[in-house]
Amino acid sequence: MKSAPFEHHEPTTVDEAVSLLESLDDPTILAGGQSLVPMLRFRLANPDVVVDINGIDSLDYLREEDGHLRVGALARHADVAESDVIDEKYGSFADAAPLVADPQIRNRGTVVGSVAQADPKGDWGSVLLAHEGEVVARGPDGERAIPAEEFFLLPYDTTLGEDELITEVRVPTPSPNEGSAYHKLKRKTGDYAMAGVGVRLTFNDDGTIESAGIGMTAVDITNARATDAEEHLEGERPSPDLFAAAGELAAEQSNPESDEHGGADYKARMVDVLTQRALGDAAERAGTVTVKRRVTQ
Amino acid sequence: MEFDGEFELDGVPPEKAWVVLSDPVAVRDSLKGCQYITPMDDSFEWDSFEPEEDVPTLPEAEADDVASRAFRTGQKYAALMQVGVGSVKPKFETTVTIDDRDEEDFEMTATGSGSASGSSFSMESGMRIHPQEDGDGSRIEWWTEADISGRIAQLGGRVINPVANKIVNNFFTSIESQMTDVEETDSGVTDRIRGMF
Amino acid sequence: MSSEPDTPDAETEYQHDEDGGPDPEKHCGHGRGGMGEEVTRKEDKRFITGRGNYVDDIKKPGMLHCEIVRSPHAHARIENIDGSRAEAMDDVVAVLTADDLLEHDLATMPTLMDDTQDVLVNEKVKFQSQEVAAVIATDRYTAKDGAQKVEVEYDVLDPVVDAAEALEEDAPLVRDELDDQEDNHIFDWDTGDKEATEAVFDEADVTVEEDMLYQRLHPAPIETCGAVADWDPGMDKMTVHMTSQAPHAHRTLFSQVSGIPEHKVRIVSPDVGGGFGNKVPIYPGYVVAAAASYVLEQPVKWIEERSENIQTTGFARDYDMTGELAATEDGMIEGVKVDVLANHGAYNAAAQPSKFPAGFFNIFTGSYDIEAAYGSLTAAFTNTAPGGVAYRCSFRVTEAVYLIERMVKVLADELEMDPAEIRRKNFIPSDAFPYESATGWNYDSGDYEKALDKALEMADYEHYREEQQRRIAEDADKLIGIGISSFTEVVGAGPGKQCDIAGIEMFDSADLRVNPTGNAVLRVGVQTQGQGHETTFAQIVAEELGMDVDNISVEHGDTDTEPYGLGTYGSRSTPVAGAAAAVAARKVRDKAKSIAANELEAAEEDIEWDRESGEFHVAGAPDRSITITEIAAGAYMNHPGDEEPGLEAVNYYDPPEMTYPFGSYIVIVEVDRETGEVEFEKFVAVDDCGNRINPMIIEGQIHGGLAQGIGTAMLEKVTYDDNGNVTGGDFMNYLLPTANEIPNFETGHTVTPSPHHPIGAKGVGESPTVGSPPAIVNAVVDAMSHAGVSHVEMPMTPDVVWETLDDVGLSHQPAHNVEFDLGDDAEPADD
Repeated sequence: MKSAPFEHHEPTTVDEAVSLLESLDDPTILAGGQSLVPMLRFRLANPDVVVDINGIDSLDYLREEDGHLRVGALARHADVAESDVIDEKYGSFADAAPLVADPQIRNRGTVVGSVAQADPKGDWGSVLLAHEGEVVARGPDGERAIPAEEFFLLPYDTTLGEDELITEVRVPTPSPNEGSAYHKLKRKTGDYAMAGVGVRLTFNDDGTIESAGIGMTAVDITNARATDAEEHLEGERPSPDLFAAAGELAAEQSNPESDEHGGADYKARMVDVLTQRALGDAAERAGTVTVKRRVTQ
Repeated sequence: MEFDGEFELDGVPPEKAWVVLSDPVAVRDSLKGCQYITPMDDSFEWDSFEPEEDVPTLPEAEADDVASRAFRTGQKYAALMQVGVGSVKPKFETTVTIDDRDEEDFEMTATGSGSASGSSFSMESGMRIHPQEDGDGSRIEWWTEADISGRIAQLGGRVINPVANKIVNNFFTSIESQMTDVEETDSGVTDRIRGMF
Repeated sequence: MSSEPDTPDAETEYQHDEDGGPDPEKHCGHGRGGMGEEVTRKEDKRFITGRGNYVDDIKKPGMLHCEIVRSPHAHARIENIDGSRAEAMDDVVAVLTADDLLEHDLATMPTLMDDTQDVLVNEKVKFQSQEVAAVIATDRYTAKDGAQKVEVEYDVLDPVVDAAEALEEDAPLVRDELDDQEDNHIFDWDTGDKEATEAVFDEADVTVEEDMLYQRLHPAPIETCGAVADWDPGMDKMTVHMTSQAPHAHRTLFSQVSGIPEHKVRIVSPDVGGGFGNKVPIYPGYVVAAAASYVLEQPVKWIEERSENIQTTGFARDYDMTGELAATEDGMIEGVKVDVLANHGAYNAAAQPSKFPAGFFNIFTGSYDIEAAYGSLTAAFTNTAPGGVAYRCSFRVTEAVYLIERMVKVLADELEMDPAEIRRKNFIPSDAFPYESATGWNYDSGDYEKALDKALEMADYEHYREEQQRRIAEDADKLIGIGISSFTEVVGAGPGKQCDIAGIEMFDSADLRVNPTGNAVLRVGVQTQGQGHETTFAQIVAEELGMDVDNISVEHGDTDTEPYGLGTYGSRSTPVAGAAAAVAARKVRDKAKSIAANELEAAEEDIEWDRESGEFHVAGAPDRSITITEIAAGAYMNHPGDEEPGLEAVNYYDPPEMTYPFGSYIVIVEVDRETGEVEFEKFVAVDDCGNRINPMIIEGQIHGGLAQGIGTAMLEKVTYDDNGNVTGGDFMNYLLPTANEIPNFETGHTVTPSPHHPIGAKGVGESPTVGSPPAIVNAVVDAMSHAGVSHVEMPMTPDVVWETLDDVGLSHQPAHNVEFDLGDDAEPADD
């Protein structure tokens, strides 16, 4: 990589990082480098100052605590993919982690960095939206938790302040009646999503859906919630027809553009397909239904 | 690449909108990342140019000043404009020529081009201010045809559209708030300026 | 105008061995690492342990670094270049522009098609990222910083990137600097008998027609291009270490471009990380590095970035084709027609032997005995990078094979015939060889039915045909498609009288020297980029001299020490240089006989060589024998009075004909009716490359080529937008397959030796890239052909496949076949 020269700061504590962000002129934060490094390499990003947070050991965690799954700013995608607690309870995280980029990038890239990047084709934003998760940011005035739904503004643009550092993202610990899943369509390993859908279903004891969360990837200017589909599901009992209707509503609410990843109509249709598939998986994981195919394949 | 859109300015009649949109200083202040817009001639030097500071802005500015600095047909302007998309923040050295100003129909067209970080663009843009059909405000119709070359076009094609829309929407939102300021502080100023064109 | 290959002279003497040559099917390598043995690759130790020596590994004292300033525009006139801000930087040594090169007469360079390309743009940029200026600095980072500070003023012009649009009357003129060029038309070419073919089509029971684009690809070798140029003012000698597939040809071209006498130019191609045809042409970066070294009298390194490689160096394919077949109603193909629009980019820089403007595309009759054939082609300039290199194929054979193999499937569907059956019906029969095709090619040998039968059996063809029908009948969510390709390649360019590059006939060479201690060094004129020459050529010598393969070193890639050769591409190394190695070894063996006679005190004519034992013995007295090691000692320590001392031979081999490897590939796919995703269920590749030298290396070659075939069919395309921006010019957007996209391959082989090659071998590295794309496309089409689909364009990404499914009413919703089981407690789902 032949980047332009820049000043490199390596804070070792969050406080130090935040005070650097406050005092330095237009700093750029480096975590896993998944997005920043290619931009440096193409010299599209030419920052004067980089604050490298990889030395802040206290941000390297992935744990359940205080009713949340907490993903620290230095937890790598590979950490999520290899985590037992994820494997056991967080279907959507377990689905998404191995679908992010390629193995080399997963070893380095971070979940929080991906959320901070706010690329509408990023996977984690949709997972957070489906779980109604939060982005926890620390700035000069202390810590605040931003609901995922209020975080994303535009491609690469969020409500994070210029002197704030995201320390973690978190989602509520699931109830026993909850299941989640993430489905992604891509052309090859390492490619961006053509479309992706994250789903969370929480069931009442009677088998009806108490609440649903659906986040969509690569089909709008940000990761976006499919609220119409969520509402349609609530209070209902799972069935192929119900999920088909939810898929259709999600597709209608999506707003894809035609590009090298396919035409807008195709992507909307894939939102429908992926939503139905993810709903099926989530319902199965909640122990509510078994999805069967009438015909092999 | 073609972009177009409409923006409603509630409570701002077309003639007032026209005044503000004709003022390079007001446009600069509404365009996030724009450091200056200044008339240029062939001797203009990007490296050494220092924009004048503390230029009076509407509505405080003297009507004569505003009228004299208003965009003129055939004039070429230099604009330094930084566009921020995440960590990518190219600073475009842009030249804009006002091709036509129609004082009757409130229509203005311009061509421009700029370059930054191994990328460049050229564009033909226009806008026309219509009276609101159901209200006393304005409806602004705008359109741009842009050709983009280089790295940004190679890699950023999928974000150019939303980013361009964001810039335009932020611009008009800011213009709208400036209009409101005009309204609140000194409603007479626009009439005076208008009289001078 | 027509350019059929000449028929080889009837009296051409084939250089066969007295004992008939090796037959690896009978006796495999004799345990010494000869023909047919799976010898571990000699080159692997250094590669696996990180001790390879690539161009970028080369460091010289005082070495400077070169970064090229490139145009962001696809078409623009340069008004001014101001390098002063870069020159003012501390560690920037120089900024070079076309004006500087003009002083040394280095501003332009010839392409492989005798066009003239700007080294640095003199007046007008003709494609995006074209070379505009160069910054030379003491380190790589500063060179790049400096390049960003070079200010270029452009007058931007409208570009044209599409070949058809380029030929419209009002299209922007790409090459206005050429005096007689009034439009973007480069040349027309045709082949075959137009009248006879039209007559066949007029009379035919059935005709079919299909349009297909073989999209623009890039070979995308793992190592990009680069050079370290070092002008020695004391010796007046230019040494260039560079990523070259053809070092000697490049030396001649370098000498011609620079005016430095050829004996004062040394090209070294060290380890090369993949070439695939990309490293056959000369690129401006090499010339700039050499010019800079000459001017500055210091070594200068230039290493290309990945996106520079994809955006500016030789692309492949970009043939927009219309194929037509005429046949009887029972499926006998009588005629083939093809019309091509070729996008050659901004310069005519295609890599092909000069007598063939469309390469060997006229082999489009394929494996079939077709009476009448006619092909026509128009080539156009566009504002895109120049190219048309032979990407892992023999000069446009890939396009030809794709066309005929796709058309046979189209015809089979039209006639509702089994695509295996229709092929069998039309194959050139195995007893018809040598066979002369309707476009004049002389096929050496083949047994196409045997390879197809083997592939059908390995693929469990009948089972999958039944499974395919079951899924259609049950309206299943995944459709099965079975694709076949029974391709024939033409490789081993070439007979010198037919094929030349820049006037130099396409022979190749081997220089074999046996040392006094009994080991040997073989120097060859070809150059390996991963093909395993250091192993396979040693095996040829081991076979022909009875020497152990471990005792033979193979050297290549240094023009100061190797014999002149034309390089490695077009699967020509084994057919040409491999033959030279065998003939050189046999020459050594002849001399060895006289030494053996001397040592054994027998008459030379009584000395026999035994291929099995590898020893020389007196006729009728096998006990009186001597090994090559003993003979080597004798050659230096006790040479016969009537012979010169030493034991060595050189052979320059001009092949009498090309070789025609072939194979049958069967691909079975599952097509997801909900998403359009395609999964490989089975991938069978049966290849016949004649006698096999190292089966393990062949297998590796097949695997690699199939992976590239999958990339071609499913993922890869260099795309441009209307402004001439390369939108598929980096690995984010130019999608190479990874191990995850590659299925398990089942490989098999048949052996039909080449009758004219000294060891009966043909060449194989490119068969899988050539043969697999049509098999894959045929499979995807086959999954949908019952609904009337006749073609799907490459790359067959999920959206493309789904649109096709949806157009013919085959797309499914997920709910289509799904039922929910809610368990005992739950109410029925459809309440």
